[in-house]
Amino acid sequence: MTENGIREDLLPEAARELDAMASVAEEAAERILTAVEKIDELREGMPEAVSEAVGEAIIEIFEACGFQDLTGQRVGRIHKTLNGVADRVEAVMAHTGHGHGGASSGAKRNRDKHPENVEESGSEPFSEEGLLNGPQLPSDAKTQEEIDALMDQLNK
Amino acid sequence: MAVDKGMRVLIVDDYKTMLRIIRNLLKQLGFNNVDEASDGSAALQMLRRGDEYGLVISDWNMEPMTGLQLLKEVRADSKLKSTPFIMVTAESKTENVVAAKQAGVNNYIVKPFNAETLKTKMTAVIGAF
Repeated sequence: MTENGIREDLLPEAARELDAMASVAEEAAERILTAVEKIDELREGMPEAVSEAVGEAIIEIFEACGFQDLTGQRVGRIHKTLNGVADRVEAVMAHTGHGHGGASSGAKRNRDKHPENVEESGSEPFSEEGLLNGPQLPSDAKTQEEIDALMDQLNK
Repeated sequence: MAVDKGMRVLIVDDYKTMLRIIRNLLKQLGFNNVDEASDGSAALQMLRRGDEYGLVISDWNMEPMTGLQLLKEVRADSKLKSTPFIMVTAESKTENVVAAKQAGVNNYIVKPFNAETLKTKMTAVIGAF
């Protein structure tokens, strides 16, 4: 595949696949939540012990549905990575005399339609550069215990 | 004195699924008077409308106004500055926690989180319930 093909077809297609994945995850989470909310409503008619056990299970499901939020944020980060690759490809093409100009490229169009890139365009009114990184990989992310210890330290 | 579970709670997140999850977890904890906002600016409008909120639970990474900016606006507002504020975010770097603390956050929860953590942090901020 040529550099132009990577920029015009491959990267936008990868972005579309990511969007589709995020959309499916969101739809699934919403359906799960709707079903669980219905079960929660039925708890009133259940014997106390059963209601309590069902309630505990419901809380676990609500907690687990948080995957959708983190999935969405990770997809946003991958979009930014793809945009970075598209920019590099475009720069290489310009350097080698194969560029078409940035504004009309598929990669540029793709980049502009994603809200996570508003900050890059300079129109983000409340930028906190360096602090908006999204979820870290589990191996790098601080645990709640580490956050608590840090907060305790800052409270002193 | 136990906390009044009828207090108004404002939850702020740009993911509607997360708003729904937090609303449901709050319901399980007995808090049913919950309003939602999809970013800091919408939340600030609601806070300044005059309804008294006993607690704000906010995400960080939102547009156009982030949770940190919302926190700063709340702390700078003479009528709102004492509103309890918990940040619930996937941003877990030390500099994020320090920035939030410096801006006046009352507690900090890192995503993914569980109901017990939410309850523990709410108790630490607003008192036992």
